[in-house]
Amino acid sequence: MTVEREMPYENGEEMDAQLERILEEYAASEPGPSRATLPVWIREYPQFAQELTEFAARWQLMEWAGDDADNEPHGAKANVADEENERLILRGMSAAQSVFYARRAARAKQVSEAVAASVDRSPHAASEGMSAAIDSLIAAAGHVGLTYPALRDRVGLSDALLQKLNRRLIDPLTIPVRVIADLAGAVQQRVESVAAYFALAPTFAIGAQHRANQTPTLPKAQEDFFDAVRNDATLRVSRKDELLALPRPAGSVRSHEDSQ
Amino acid sequence: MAQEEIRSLARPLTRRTKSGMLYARPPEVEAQLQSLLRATVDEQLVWAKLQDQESPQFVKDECLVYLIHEAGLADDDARFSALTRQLLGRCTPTITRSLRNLGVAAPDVEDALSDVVSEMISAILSDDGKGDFYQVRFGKALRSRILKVHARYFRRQKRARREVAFGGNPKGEAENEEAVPLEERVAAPGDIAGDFENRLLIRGALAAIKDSRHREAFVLQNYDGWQVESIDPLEPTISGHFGKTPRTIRTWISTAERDVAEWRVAQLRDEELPT
Repeated sequence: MTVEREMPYENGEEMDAQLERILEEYAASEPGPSRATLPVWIREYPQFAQELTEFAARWQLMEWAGDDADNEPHGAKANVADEENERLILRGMSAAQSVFYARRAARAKQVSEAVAASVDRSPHAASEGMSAAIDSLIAAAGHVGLTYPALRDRVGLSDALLQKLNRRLIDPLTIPVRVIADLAGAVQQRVESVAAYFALAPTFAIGAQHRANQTPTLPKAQEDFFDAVRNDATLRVSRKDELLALPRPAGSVRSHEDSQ
Repeated sequence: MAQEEIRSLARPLTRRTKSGMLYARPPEVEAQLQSLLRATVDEQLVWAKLQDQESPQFVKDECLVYLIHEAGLADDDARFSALTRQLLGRCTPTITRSLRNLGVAAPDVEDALSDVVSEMISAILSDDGKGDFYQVRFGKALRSRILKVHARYFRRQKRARREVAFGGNPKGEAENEEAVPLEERVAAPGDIAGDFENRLLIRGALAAIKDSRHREAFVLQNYDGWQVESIDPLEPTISGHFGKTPRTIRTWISTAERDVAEWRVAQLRDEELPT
């Protein structure tokens, strides 16, 4: 196996990131941070001798005086929720939810920017020069062992809707972030990769056969996602309502039907 | 067929060690993940709320982390909140107790807890592998995070005080070297490794040491074999770690021993009380 050595960085943030990685590995090592193992790590990373020493010392303090989750007695209740503890848990929840919503906002912005940037390119460039990590949603699903029906069921879309998304017949600016995220999760790709895929030019279905006496054409305009949902007779009513309730991405223009 | 496909959907970890090896979940964590991923989301939430660790469906912390990560990827705030509530229910007492033992002042514990949780959740939700360690050994990952937050807190406190920290011993620093003999010293770790009851005893004794620095010095000497001082410059010492003279460290340890002795006397007195 190739041994990868990280080069020392001069930048403070990178040093901090490197230190965090080293401390994480020290923590993960067996038998763990202690006086016995400390010299080995200091020899390997002398620039972090002080941090490693502090880490090992306090690790030992926590080992003996703090809680060690590995040594909790069997059968003990995992939640000891008296009033004070409950208050602290709620404080922690507040912090956790702040992180979640900040991340959601950042991701929504990233996705919108990625889609808008892709769509803003000239049609010529959009059809030939742009590539995304994904060639087809269905193929991407297959790579992670997910058949087409399983993909469809997993993300809760109809055949028609999934095919339209796969063929990029839906206006990418109207696709809710939640739908993009669900598809990304299902095919184990980054949200940005799926968003970039949707911004590519529309395509025919793979294996489609056409009459030879007429040149096949694609629809002139991509369909609004919400219109596609509204007009889909095969979606369950409850699922249709869920999809229609999703927030419209910022910057997308409401369709005529939307405003009815 | 759908069930077979779901089995393959546990995302692999992407973080690597310094030698290039991918992090790997322990087999028992992988096995439980496969069971969980065959279940519906509603079933996962029901199992996540189980508190009895003896139950075969009790969800391991590492698996709970995985589910939280997935909820983040799916942008499902309700599921994220429900699962995170369970995780925090389990680990908040650990976090706060650890912060106090490390010497974080009572008014600052909540802020420090908030920092630990924010950083932990950020790592868990990230898609670049930063949270992988939490899926491998949650307890160790959490402890590392607590120590990082504490180190930052400690540096801030030092800057704020702008002096060499000293406190907790009203008698002053250098004069009282006379070691107070313990009436009954807590057993050395070699005698009690893996014995949960004795661990509780040790924790009780250590909690009785009033000053967190004295507690730390006491633990390092008695439980990890650190020397107070050494002629070998490469040997980690308690004196070097704290940046204090060996004499000061010995005073600290003596004070800690006195605190433990007083605690032990109180324990014995309580045991002798008629029922």
